[in-house]
Amino acid sequence: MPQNSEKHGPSRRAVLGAGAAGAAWLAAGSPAAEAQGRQAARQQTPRRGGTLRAVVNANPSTLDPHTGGQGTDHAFLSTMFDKLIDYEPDSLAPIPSLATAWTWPDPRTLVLELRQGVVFHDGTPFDAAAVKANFERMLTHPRSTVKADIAALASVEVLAPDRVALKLKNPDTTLPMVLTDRAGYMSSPKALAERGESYGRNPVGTGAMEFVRWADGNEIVVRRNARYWKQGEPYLDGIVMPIITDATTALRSVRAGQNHISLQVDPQQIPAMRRSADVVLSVKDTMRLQQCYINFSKPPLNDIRLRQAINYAIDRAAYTRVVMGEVGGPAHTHIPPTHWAYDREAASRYPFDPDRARALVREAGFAPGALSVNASYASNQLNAQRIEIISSFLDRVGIKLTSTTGTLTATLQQWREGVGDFRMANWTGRPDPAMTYALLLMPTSAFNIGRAVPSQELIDTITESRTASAPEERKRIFARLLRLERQFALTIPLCFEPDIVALSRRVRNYVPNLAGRSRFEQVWLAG
Amino acid sequence: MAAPASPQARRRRPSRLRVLLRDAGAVVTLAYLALLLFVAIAASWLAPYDPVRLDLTATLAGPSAAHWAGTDDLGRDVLSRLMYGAGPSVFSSIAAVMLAAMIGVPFGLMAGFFGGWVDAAIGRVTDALLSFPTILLAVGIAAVLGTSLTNAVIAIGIAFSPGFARLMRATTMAVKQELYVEAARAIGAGPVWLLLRHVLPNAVTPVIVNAGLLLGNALLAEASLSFLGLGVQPPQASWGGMLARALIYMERAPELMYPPGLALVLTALAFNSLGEMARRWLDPRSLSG
Repeated sequence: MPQNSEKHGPSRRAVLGAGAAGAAWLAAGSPAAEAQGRQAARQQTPRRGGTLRAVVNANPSTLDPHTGGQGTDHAFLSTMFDKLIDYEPDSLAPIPSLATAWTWPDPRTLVLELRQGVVFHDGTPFDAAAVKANFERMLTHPRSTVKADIAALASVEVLAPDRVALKLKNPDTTLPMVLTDRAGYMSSPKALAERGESYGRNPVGTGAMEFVRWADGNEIVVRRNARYWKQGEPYLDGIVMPIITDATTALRSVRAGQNHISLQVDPQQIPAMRRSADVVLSVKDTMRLQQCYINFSKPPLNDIRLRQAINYAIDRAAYTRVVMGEVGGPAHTHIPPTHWAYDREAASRYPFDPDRARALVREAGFAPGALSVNASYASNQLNAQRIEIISSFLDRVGIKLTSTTGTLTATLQQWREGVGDFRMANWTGRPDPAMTYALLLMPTSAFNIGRAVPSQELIDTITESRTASAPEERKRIFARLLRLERQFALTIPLCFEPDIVALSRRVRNYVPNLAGRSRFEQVWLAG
Repeated sequence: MAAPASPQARRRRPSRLRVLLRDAGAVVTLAYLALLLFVAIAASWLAPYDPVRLDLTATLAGPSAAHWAGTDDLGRDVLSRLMYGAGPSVFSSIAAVMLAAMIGVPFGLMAGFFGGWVDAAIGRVTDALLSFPTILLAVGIAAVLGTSLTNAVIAIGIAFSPGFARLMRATTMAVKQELYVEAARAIGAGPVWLLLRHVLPNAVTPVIVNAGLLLGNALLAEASLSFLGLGVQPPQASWGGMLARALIYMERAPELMYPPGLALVLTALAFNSLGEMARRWLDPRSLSG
């Protein structure tokens, strides 16, 4: 049986160093300043103390990790909570955290070895009983938002104070990756019991920072956890996270020196940022991509040749350059190049080849200009721009593009009713790529809008990807899965959206990750 | 020497057209509108480039000999898009105002003429419609109807109609008290005859003036809807849509916002002064004053 243990995985510090070096650092101003930014990221002697001011764009609905649902919540949660399993920032491969190792004695049992000597902020110990209490709450809490993530979980068995077994109803090897997400955050069972409904406003985890206060819509404040299990961490005395919903205002507050970090910078702002001397940009590709779903259950796009033609017709490099400016990367599959499940062969299936596309359209029985395809999208300038580009590429190979547009809800409703041949929308990624492909392509999933079976082999491969557990075996299955999806051309991947974060020059050791989830707890401030 | 009150004095009074043409502002307005109308109709012959042809190798290029107003985010010629955008903007504002008048005038006429419960019923509906900001109402209607230029015109027409109804009601109430209406009624004219033959022709002047003044608002309303993605659909060019796209590139290519912005400002200004001219044309008192 495969085993991932702490000894085999890279050390925490090595991961952080590699992450910082792997990220693209765009320093404002001169090349010298850029070099300085890179050097600063690598600098090895952290300075202790200081309070970081990191702007987050949305007030959380709750700080209870298992009943909240907003993507931006992770920025707050990751300061106060540790997850059972963490991930490498670049490949998202699972690495030890509260669980030091995990094994599959059989396909329906996942055994977690727990880190010893860890205590929650309220002084109670983190142990197997605490893990069991957390999972039972996730399964039974009426407002639990993680029930679907752990749908395969039947029961939790305490084997020893530091060993716990998760018993599954059916094999599901996406579970370790699910434990890197919301379901992996561990709360103090004592605090959960005592605080009940008010827990979400006063959370207790094992993380680097302890909760201090939450002024609604204004700021969330956390302070250093003196008993943190990672030796010598955290470096900061505390973090103030002001909540500023407007990204431009947040960015301005960093340029003005009021705050240190601002998230979600618009790619079009980059040239202006270059002119600012006080700000460094961290740009990192994420799993979030611009793409189109295809309704492959009805004519004309039930014809594989036409789906392939569309995939050949689009110059993804040119598309990315226009839509993203100087950042981002073309997407050829739903898996970014640095991810552990990436497959080069699948990604090179459709080079930009308008002649090939024209030939396929002709082969499918359409004279140039005779084929009309309808695109569904929510009406906004960004989507309009993207559709205009795609429309021009399709026009060049003899496919006319018409559109169905309106509000997000109206067009989604029409799309569900079978209006439109493809739909432009972003895909935000899932902790485990098996979840992405199951959602996109299984006939049981709402994202497979026509509920058609794309190919039996593909369905079997998706099922297999959730039952295999050894990392090498999973990698092989995903290579097959990605190639099959490309062969049948079931989606139109376009480009990966980067996560762009503006940092004050004092911020050190900010490590962006492929999941696009900002984390502040490991940061330190230069003098 | 003051003109004596004689038949000659009347002849010596300058014609209304002459008075208008003596006003430089009016001449400029009329010249601009004539040019605009010409461009709107002949865009497909005048425009130097295809307004929807992309050139991704020449995006966000500033003005040059080949592209007088530069190229946009997708390498399209801005001048050509401006020319093609004139048609939808100008004709849809005219159509929207005509629609608003066609809805508002009959209801206002009935409310003012019949009074009583007819007036009360129509009055409550116009009150309800007027309680929404016009643009908000238009956005709501466009969102319900679906996104297209035709629907945007319908939305603006509906949103502007209560103003016409109010105006028509007020003038009708004044006109129906006039002696000639009483006289017609006395010789046995029915309500339809009275309304169409006597009331409408004598109450319609303020409506025409109002229509002229509303053209500018309708232009901006159409641009707002296109700006919000509820009007003209891409890749077709519209001034509001061009402005919305320019907003995304405000930091990188600020020059993109000037052509559609200036076109909108100048045209709204021209429509407003056209309304003002209509008022002076139709109201003899203002000419002599």
